[in-house]
Amino acid sequence: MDMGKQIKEGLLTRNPAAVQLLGLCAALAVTTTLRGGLGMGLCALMVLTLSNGILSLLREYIPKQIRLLTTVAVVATLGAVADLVIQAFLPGLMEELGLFLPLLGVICVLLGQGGAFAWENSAGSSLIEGLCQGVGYTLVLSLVGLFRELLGKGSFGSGMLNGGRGLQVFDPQYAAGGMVLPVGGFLVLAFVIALIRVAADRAGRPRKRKGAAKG
Amino acid sequence: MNEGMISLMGLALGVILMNNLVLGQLLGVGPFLEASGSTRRAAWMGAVLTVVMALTAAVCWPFNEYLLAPNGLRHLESMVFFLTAAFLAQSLGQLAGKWFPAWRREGEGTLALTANCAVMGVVLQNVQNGYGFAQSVVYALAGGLGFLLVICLFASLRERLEFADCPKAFEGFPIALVTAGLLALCFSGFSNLTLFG
Amino acid sequence: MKKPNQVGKRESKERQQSPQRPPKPEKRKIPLGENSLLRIAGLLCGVCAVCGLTLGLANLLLEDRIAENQSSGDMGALVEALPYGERYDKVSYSGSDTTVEQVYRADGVGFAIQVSPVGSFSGELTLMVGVNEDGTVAGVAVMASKETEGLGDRVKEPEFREQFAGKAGSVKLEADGGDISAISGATVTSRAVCEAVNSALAAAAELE
Repeated sequence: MDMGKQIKEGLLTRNPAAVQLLGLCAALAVTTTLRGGLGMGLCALMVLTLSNGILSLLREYIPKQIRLLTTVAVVATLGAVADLVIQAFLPGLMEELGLFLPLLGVICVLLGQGGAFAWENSAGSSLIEGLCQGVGYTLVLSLVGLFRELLGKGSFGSGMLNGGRGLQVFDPQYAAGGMVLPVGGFLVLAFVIALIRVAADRAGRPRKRKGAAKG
Repeated sequence: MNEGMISLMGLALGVILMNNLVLGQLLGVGPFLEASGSTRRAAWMGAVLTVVMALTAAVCWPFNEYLLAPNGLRHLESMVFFLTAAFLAQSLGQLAGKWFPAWRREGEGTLALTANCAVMGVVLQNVQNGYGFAQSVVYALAGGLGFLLVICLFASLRERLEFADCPKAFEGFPIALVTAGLLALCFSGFSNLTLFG
Repeated sequence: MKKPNQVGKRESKERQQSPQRPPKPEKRKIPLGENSLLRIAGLLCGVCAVCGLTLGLANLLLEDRIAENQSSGDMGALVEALPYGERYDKVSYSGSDTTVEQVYRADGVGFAIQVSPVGSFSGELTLMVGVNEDGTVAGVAVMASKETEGLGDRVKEPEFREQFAGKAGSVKLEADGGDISAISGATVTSRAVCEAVNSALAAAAELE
């Protein structure tokens, strides 16, 4: 399989957040800063990739009737493990993500479409699919986080750079405070989705890929 | 009306208006966006989600209270709750499909009912905030009603959007999101409301 | 991206596929030996058991570290509220104020009191208030807050919290006749901080 193409798909033409519109709760809620968006995205990437791999390995053994519940069990467990790991090693991120850290499992079930890909494909391609979709998701979350933080607080990278204070690009009293509220989340997400759609249009053909010859 | 009832009403009103699940806490945005294509679909999704949410909260509370917490198994809670929620959502979705053909048409088979941040978020909050049984169920029920309210509002807005001129890149979901954002802004006006103390 | 399933798909020994059935990705069934409810339930329980055990293991390995993080988080607030060079002692509080969560004593210096005022906006605001031995406020630190970002959450700002230093007896907002100036737009939260400080001062007085 063509890794480059899958990456492009994950990032643009089949971006899970911007095109398939999956996992948007997190895209709105934790993206008040760049760190939140990036952190959430990377966690989701890891859980998604691992869970895709595991589910794919199980596909010979699990009958159809319980596939969804198995997906839920596996992904929820991985999400909870990730939750514990973050609590142990990155407590700052844990506070940032708040309620949505335990919801990591839920989000990854959505991102993987209930494991639709993993149940039908080999472990290798499932892992790569998870990776690429995760990268695309992280891209969207990071972009939203970046803009919301910049416009809403005037800072860049707070929590990460500059010993945790971030770079203050301009004084927060000139910032649009509404950006860190839900309304700002919706607005910025709308713009980011539109942006990615335009990029996807330019990068590939915007028609559906039914039975197209694949490299 | 004793104090307990009043505080429950305050809790319910809080999550419907002031701290709305979708527009205030940003939980359940998935089904919110997905099912708001038409008002019928929205109403069905809202109704079924409310039932699922209330039932899941009602089932998970004793689970946590009598099984997980006393045995120091709190770390299992997200997995247990999610499985319960998924199981209940699937069963209820299919039951509703059997009884209500309209549901089968409008929304059955969607993953958004099974795996959504709203149900899970509510259940986790019930546990984290240490709500009792009545409070948990009321919170979940009211949360669902708040969801129903906003999804119907939003659906009727979206129906009008279809006839509006719109930049090409924004057609479809982006402009819907902008609209949702404005709706969120409206609802944030409720945030300082204090009824029932 | 669904790939055609023909490539490299060797049936496992469990499956007995009829030779006529062309494998289709969406409808591929795994014929079970006995397609019984028992087997399905058993498999599901097995999966859940493995998941539960994994999670339990992860928790076991990490819970010490997590507890450590939490207490060092508390430490930060303690030091901020009431600077003290040695170990703080936990004191049991038997007063009637239910908003007081924990009391620490710094021998010879004063008390640091963890308070969760009821009047907060979100319902979740926890402060650590340091009270000197002479009954004046040493410092106020915000331990946890779910107040609105940009508004109530701004009580974390040093300029707001510094106002409380040196106050005794009771504090009130300017709007209520006192001399604490609230964060603009966040009167509720500011008032809750005053409530917390008052609780802490009262508790410290009780404990002297």
